[in-house]
Amino acid sequence: MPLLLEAKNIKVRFKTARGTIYAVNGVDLSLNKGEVLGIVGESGSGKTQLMHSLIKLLPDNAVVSGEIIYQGQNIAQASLTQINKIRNNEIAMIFQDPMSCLNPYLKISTQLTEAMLIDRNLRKPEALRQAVEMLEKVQIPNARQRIHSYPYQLSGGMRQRVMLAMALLRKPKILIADEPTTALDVTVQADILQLLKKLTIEYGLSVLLVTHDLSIVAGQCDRVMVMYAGKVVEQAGVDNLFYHAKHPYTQGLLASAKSQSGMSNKLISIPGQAPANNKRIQGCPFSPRCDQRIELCDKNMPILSGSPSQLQACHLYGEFQ
Amino acid sequence: MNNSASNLMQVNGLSVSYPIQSAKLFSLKKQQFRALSDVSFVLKQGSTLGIVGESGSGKTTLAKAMVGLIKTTHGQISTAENIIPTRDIQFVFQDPLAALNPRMTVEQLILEPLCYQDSANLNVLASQKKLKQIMEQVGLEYSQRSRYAHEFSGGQCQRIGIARAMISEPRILICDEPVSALDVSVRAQIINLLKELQNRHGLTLIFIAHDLSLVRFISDELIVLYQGQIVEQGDTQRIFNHPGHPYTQALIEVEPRPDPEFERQREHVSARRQNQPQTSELACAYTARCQNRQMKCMHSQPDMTSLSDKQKVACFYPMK
Repeated sequence: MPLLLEAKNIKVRFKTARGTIYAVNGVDLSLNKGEVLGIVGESGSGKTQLMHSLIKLLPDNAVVSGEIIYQGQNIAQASLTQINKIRNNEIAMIFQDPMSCLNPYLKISTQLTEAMLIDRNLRKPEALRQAVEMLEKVQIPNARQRIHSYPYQLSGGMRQRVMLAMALLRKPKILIADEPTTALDVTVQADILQLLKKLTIEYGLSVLLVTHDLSIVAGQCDRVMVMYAGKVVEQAGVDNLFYHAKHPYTQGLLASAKSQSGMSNKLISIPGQAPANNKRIQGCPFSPRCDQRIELCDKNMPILSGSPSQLQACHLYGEFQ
Repeated sequence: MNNSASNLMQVNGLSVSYPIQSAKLFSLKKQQFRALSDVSFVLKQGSTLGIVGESGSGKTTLAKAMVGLIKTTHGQISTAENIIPTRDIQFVFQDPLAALNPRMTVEQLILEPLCYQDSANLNVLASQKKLKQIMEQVGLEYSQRSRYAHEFSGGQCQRIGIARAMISEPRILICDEPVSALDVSVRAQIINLLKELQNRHGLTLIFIAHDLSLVRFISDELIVLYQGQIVEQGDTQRIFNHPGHPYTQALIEVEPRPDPEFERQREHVSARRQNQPQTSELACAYTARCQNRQMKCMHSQPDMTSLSDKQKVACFYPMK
């Protein structure tokens, strides 16, 4: 599969009145064409900031370094006009809370056609026709009537479908889905995930799926990246990750997820909590919570190493800095 | 309270309706939305009752009705005689950060409920002792007491919310989706904490959730709500092993599992049916989504019937 997007050594810092926040601490990411890459981590692990850094959605106080290569071009230093072009036609994003991303004052017809009217110089009836067609694609019943509703008239699942339609109308090559189903009921979540899977294939999309829930990754992704404290701790194909997890953090997450879905009788959690991100960490960020900790862990940061099919950043598996 | 002393609360035929604006502008007839209809159950001392249903199923309405936050339309809620609702029934909310005043320190937040109680003439020393005790019990450090809520993670905030509820030494703790806003890895910590507190203080818990994944670990009894009606109720393990209502079955099946092989084999059954039939008001509420509906379901509503002494279901054709 040809490489579509590559990010090298991405670091995101936030300068705040109360010091520097270290959100992303050197992450490499690659996305092949037609691939679904899962990015898993707890809140505060930097997964959303990493995604925002790819299409420059970060606020002004963010300091980003690293290279972002999209189709052979480094877009890390791209101007606003260039990045807008990419956001319009190449990389689309959908967010966790569809209500806060839709304008409550505007009918969804206006919001769906806005980009087409400005960017593609389409006439209104044509734009509307395409929008209705897309709403049908995302399985909104009575799309022809529903398109004239306001966001508050739609349920959470419907709003997320509208967001998805809005993203797909731009015919993007990459879709970033940031916790797309976290705010939804389980039954609706299943429908949306199924739809996402179907459209991914139909449109030949490459997807970056961000979530805190490993169970969602299992059914959706080809490859998975596990993040902790702004770093990638393990990266592998979906089967390797679920059946041969190496990093103790991944193992802990898996045990916890398995126990919650009834695969064991005891409820398992990872004790402790993620480190604060307002200072640099010397050793492995997970070591205070790790039950397999060795002496080296508190001193040196392990680097991501292993075979191409499975990489992990852990001293238990050899190489270190 | 009538019969057995171990019953803390008894709910009988509870219905709640809200007036809604009519579609016709000048219509004089006020329309009613039925948020809950004919809900009955018994809450036993020291047990955990799980209430499960999707958004709009009436689970929060039920919780609010139990503490008297909303008026009920029909039915009664009777509590044991020695229960003082303001003190003995406490709430833990879904969004921990939204439920905590951002201008108050952890100490103020946790101690605030005591100010509204008659027995609250605690001196500083005694209240500090209480604060320290409760903070340790919920897994917070006493040294963090002068910080503000935004300085804590979601899981920590939920611990503050639990401490705030526990400070008045309640007998019933209503947890309204206490872990839905939290990371999967943190959820288990909070559930285990609730269980621990229950064992220590003999608490009675009501645990509300929109999915079944964690309910099975914490609740003894289970109520499944669908559009304001109980579709299934009874012993949690029994229901998990042999769901009687097709909706309960769907809720169990639809949960994603951390197992790629299983997920690849999964046949997707949509929660919505593409061709929804026109159903009359008389029909069973679940007919439109039901996989095994029959003619009878379209014309009449099923009553609660017992499948066994531990399980009741509202379905004409319960699953075997």
